[in-house]
Amino acid sequence: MSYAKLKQRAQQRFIDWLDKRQPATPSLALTQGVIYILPSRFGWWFSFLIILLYLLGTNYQNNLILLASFVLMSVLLSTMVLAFLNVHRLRLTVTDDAVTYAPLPAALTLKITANLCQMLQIRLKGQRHVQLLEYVAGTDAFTLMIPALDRGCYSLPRLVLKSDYPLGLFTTWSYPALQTQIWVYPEPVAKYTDTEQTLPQATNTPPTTQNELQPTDPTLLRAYQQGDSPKHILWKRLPAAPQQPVVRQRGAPLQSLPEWVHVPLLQGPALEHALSHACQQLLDLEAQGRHYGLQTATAQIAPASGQLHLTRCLQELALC
Amino acid sequence: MVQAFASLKSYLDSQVLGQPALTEGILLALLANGHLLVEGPPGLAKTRAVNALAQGVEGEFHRIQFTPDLLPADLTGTDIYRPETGQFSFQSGPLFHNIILADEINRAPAKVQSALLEAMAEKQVTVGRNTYKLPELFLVMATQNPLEQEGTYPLPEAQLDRFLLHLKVDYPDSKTELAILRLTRAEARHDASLAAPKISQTDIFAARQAILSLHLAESLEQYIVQLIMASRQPAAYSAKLSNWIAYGASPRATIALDRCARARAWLAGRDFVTPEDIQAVFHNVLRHRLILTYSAEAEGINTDQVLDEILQLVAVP
Amino acid sequence: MLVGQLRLPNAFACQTLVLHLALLALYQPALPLWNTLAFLGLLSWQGWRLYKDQPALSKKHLNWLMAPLLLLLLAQISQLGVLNAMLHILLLAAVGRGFTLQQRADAIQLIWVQYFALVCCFIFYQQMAMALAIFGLLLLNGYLQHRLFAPANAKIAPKRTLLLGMITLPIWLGLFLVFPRLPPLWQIPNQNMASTGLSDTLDPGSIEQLVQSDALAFRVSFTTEKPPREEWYWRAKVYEDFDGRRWQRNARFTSRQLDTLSRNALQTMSQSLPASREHVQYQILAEPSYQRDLFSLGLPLSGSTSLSMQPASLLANPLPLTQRISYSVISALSPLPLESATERQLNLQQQNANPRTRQWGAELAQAHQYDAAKIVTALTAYFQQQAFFYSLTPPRLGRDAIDQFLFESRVGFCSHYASATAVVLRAAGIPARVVGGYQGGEWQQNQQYLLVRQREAHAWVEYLLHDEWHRFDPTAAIAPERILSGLEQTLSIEEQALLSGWQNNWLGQLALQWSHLDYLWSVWVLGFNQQDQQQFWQRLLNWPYWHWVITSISVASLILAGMYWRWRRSLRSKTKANVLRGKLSRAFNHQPPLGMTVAMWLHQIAQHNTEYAPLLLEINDLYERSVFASDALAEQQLLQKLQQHRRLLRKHIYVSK
Repeated sequence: MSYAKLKQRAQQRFIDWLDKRQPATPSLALTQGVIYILPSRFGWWFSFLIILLYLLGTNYQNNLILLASFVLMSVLLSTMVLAFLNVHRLRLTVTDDAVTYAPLPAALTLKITANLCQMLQIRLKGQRHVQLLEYVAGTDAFTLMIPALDRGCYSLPRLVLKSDYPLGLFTTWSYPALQTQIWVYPEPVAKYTDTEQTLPQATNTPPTTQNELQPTDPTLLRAYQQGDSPKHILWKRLPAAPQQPVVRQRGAPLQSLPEWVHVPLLQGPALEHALSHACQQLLDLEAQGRHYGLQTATAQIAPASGQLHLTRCLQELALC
Repeated sequence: MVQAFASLKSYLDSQVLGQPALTEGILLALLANGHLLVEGPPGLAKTRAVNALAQGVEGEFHRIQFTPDLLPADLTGTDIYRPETGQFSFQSGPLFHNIILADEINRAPAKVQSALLEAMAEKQVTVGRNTYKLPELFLVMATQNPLEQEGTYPLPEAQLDRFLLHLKVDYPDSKTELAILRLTRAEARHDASLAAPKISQTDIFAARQAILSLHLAESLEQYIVQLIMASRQPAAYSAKLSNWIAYGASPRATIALDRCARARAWLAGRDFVTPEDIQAVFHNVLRHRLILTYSAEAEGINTDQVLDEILQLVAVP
Repeated sequence: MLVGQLRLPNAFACQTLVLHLALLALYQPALPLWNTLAFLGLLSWQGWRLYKDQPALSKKHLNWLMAPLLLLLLAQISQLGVLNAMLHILLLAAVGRGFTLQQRADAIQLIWVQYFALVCCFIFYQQMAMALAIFGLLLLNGYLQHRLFAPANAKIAPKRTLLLGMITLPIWLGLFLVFPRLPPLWQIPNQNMASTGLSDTLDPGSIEQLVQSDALAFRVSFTTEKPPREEWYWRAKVYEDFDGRRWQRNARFTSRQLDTLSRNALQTMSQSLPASREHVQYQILAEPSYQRDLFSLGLPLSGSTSLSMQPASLLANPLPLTQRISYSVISALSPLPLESATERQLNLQQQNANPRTRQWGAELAQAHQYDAAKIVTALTAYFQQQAFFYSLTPPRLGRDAIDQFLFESRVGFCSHYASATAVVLRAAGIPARVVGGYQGGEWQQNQQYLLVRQREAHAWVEYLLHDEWHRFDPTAAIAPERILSGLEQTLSIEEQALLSGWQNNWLGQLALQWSHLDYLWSVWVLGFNQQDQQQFWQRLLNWPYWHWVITSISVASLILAGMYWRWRRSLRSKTKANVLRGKLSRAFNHQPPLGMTVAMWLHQIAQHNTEYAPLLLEINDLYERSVFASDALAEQQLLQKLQQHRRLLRKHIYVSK
């Protein structure tokens, strides 16, 4: 019990120390300050072998055995340098956040740049799943698998980079922290029971091309302003309001009426349900190329369309 | 996203023949969040270019013809008394649009020009006691006609540098002229031309963000600063140059140069800026920000020649 | 541990099998025949399994396989001795692990055991060729280890590996020279080996067999002036007991207590002896003979610390020689002192055999008034005047061997003459004994050392005169060439052919060169001991030019530091762009104008050199990426590209100036 507590406290100390030493950044090159080298277990055995051989050589007064132990010793020392150089100046860059829908595990694309780095093991701190990068020369895109998480937004935990290259005598570690988020959006679930009500139908909004020709549509008219071309003035209306000429608006008319997606104030499973439906709705609306806005209990996003807008809406859902 | 802007550029080029510098300048101003001043003889498709831009971008376009009798309120709008409610309500003027063509800006008196320039710099309009915000996407393209000098009010030089870019356009060559002829004929016959791409405002803002995060090497930052410094302290570079320049570029020029170079690099699909980008936008950015000496004018030296000289004297990384 | 769970690299098991076979061959000195066969069986089974691509054995199956072998080993342990048992266990562990290899993690222990087992081979083999071979196997093991921790299809970069070797070289060389050496910490178990060289008994035929061997006995380098060839009598053994036919060592050489008593007689080297002209100082590098006896000239006065003095002024090692040792001795080339009265008595003993010889001896004594010197002269004269022959193939001798030899066959080898002379002298009442050792050797003029082979084995006589033992070599009387120029000169052509056939052709020359190399190897690598280390340091410290070296080094380092500092400062003031732009202009032998970007410059050049345009554009791209995108990789590629095409860029690219 107390041992576990002690271990936990030591772990926390270590993490605090790391945070102070290397705060999260979007891009990080491994340098002397963030690479840690320790002999591996085999490295200790190897040192033991060297001592054993030294004793054997001494007892037999055999120079060749001594020589062999010295050669192994120099191999041990130079391996330390090689192990360092293997990961030295490795650069990790995150370009985008990791994005996924609730039950699915996310994947984060990392850009790894190295002169030559071999047998790099990557995992997330606190996770057991390890991914192996056998060979990095130049710039590689690497997909880091992230375990399945609940809906929400998480900052990426520290990575653990580890390598035993070249002889397994030394293990080089690094704990880089990268500044990026893992967005887990709610699971999109279509609402089967009342699809008609929530999903706007194409028939609800008449095609915009018909609208264009109707000059009486108030949305396409506005008051005359200085600089407006006289060609656009609706002369028919002038007698009705001679002080306020009305012009026909040029340019593209609005495509359609904006659609609002509402998330009511709920809690627990009901909220999750509502979020799932809202998510599906948003995806459908975007697929149809419509204008839509999002209204949640805490925030409101004005109607717009486009991939960026969709992302903003989905992020709002994830944070609900 | 770059693709979308590339297709917008090709759309603009298809609509405005023979003026690639103009279309590029418009796009740069859009991406760098600035305004541009275009100088050239009439009939060079300036209006057409802005119009085409308004087609390709989600936003409202408005053209304002500057005339000597224009009043500031004609731009900004006025408070109108509503007898029904007994209150003043604000009737917004033509400035409350996303893309504005201020045609022949030097025909309006200084008062009107100032109102426009202030709105451009502050992105808001003050009428009476109230301040009204202009839309987030706000691009002004002002034109100037160098041919008719009579009855014009030259723009105040100190305020000129509120424009990010100062473009000079000239008559196209014969080949382009022919293409223009055919294009207008085809249009008159309602032939289908290239469909305008639609770029949403969010996309534009995202692009602006992406441009700001582009990599600009330290040596290039130095280069930009050196270029501006050369305009301010030309004596350090050559005696000839110091003879020509009366006043150098302001800090706004440094910022403008940085932004435009970034935007150009981004449009080219690169994720870093090269000295080419800086040199390419250098003339347009600095043209309206230098004040030449009397002797330079006497020698018949124009601003472009001075800028060429600066480019040759400052070491490129 | 993810890497540990990976599949073994290709051909890993085959390579370990090769390594195990090599180990088995190398362990032959320690393995009885049956055990060798058992291991061979195991290994061939493993080979067959690999050939058939069968899966690895489980731990349980392996235990069933190993248990009987371990039992067999336990049964043999008393015969084998501790060292050999350890080697058996190492081999068994390695071979057994080979059966269960599945993942990379399994192989790590195997690598460890193989390192240990391979280094243990140095106990048996120290010749240069074998040592190099074993180091080669160690390298193979290191390669196997590397493959366990490297990508499956990674290739070894020879240049990089070589560079690494060059870097590690000073480390281990330095450790070898500097790292403190300790005396043996505890008594070590020894391997049982058949001894080589002179045996403890000498019968008429024993040396003839020895002289047909080309094997190296020892090598000598003289620190002082080398004595003349006729003084090269390397004493190794003294035979004092005669049974009528065969000479034997006296028991006093094998008893232990005398060892300690006489140890004081030999001063250690550190107590410096007054240098004298008669004294000879030399260093001997003895091959392993599995005997304790060492070789010395005349009367040894002082020697290396480890040596012990035996009776009859012989030197011995505390333990049998299991490996090459090197020791140095200072000797006086003078008659040896009589050690005790018992020694005189011991060397007067006679046997009943050989009546004619004894009678002749008595007659000689009477004729020369018991004067030892005169008797010896008479003997020499007798051997010279009568028809005595020196031969490698003497006829077989019967019961009274000496009688038969002296008065009938008169054909014999050095042991015959020495043996007969000693018997005659004893019969004449003069204490005499037979000394076994080596005479002569091949002087290597270029390398300045004396090479003594087994065929230089020789026997001669020491007789007592005025309480001093004097050397008398009857062979010198019959065949003086033997002493002055070596054995071959005294033998007939057929007998020379008997010695060896291939010594004279180019292969023999090559072997000789190799032997020189081996000598250097022995002196510098095998012979380097604690004492040498101390001397090395002492010589280094006593070197008179130290202050010069130190001042010059410090001045040089100051200058270098200043240059480095200036270089760093200039580097700091120069940006990367400046550096690379400079490199580009040097590569093209032309500088772009101040205000012109590299891209524009290169495009201009490309317009003039359309055939190289792709290369130029690539250079431009790399330059831009390295300078403006801070891409270190692109920078490297750019430098590589410039280096690769430097000829082309300088000569073939037209640059308008």
